[in-house]
Amino acid sequence: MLPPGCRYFGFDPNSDYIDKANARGRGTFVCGTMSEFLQQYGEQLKGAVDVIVCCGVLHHLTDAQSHELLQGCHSLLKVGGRLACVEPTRLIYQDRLSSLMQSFDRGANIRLDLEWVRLLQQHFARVESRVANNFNWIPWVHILLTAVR
Amino acid sequence: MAERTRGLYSALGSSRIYSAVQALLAGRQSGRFLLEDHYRLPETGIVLDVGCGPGLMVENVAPRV
Repeated sequence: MLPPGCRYFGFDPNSDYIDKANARGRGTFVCGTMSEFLQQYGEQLKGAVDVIVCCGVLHHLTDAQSHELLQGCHSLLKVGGRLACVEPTRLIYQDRLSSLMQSFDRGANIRLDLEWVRLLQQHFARVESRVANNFNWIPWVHILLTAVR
Repeated sequence: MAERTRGLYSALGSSRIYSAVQALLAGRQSGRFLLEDHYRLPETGIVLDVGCGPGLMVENVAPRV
């Protein structure tokens, strides 16, 4: 569960999700994208965020949309703050089963592991990555990315 | 957005179904310890959840304090 001393913000373009999140009353949630979030909280949170979590989002975005999002993350994070992403990834040498399963993913931009790292490196000087293929019972390959401002 | 939203994928637009899928994928996985370590949250401070969905993911994977 969320540490009690943490202030929790979030945004998502799906209004049904945000209604549910707001109904739980455990944070501040905005319906929209990074640009809408920045319009509302950009001034207040600029350079103040400790951790940004981004789970399974970037593979739904084009490169241009990803860059806009990452630029926003960079501006919101405090110096030393951390962006933690988990995304499905493709590998150059990947087993056929996980490759097939990932082809059914709702997101249409599953990148190669090196492409994920390069994407984040365009915004953050320090990027670390780990690849895991045993997260759950579904044959899938994930990449855990950490970027530090 | 570059994603599929038709057919079975449209079901994920429902917060109830999406929450169930999130809990299934994040809450009961063998790699949970990896995610907990990855998401390590501060005791105090500000956390931003990008693409937060129904706001459950952080609760599902954040280490219990």
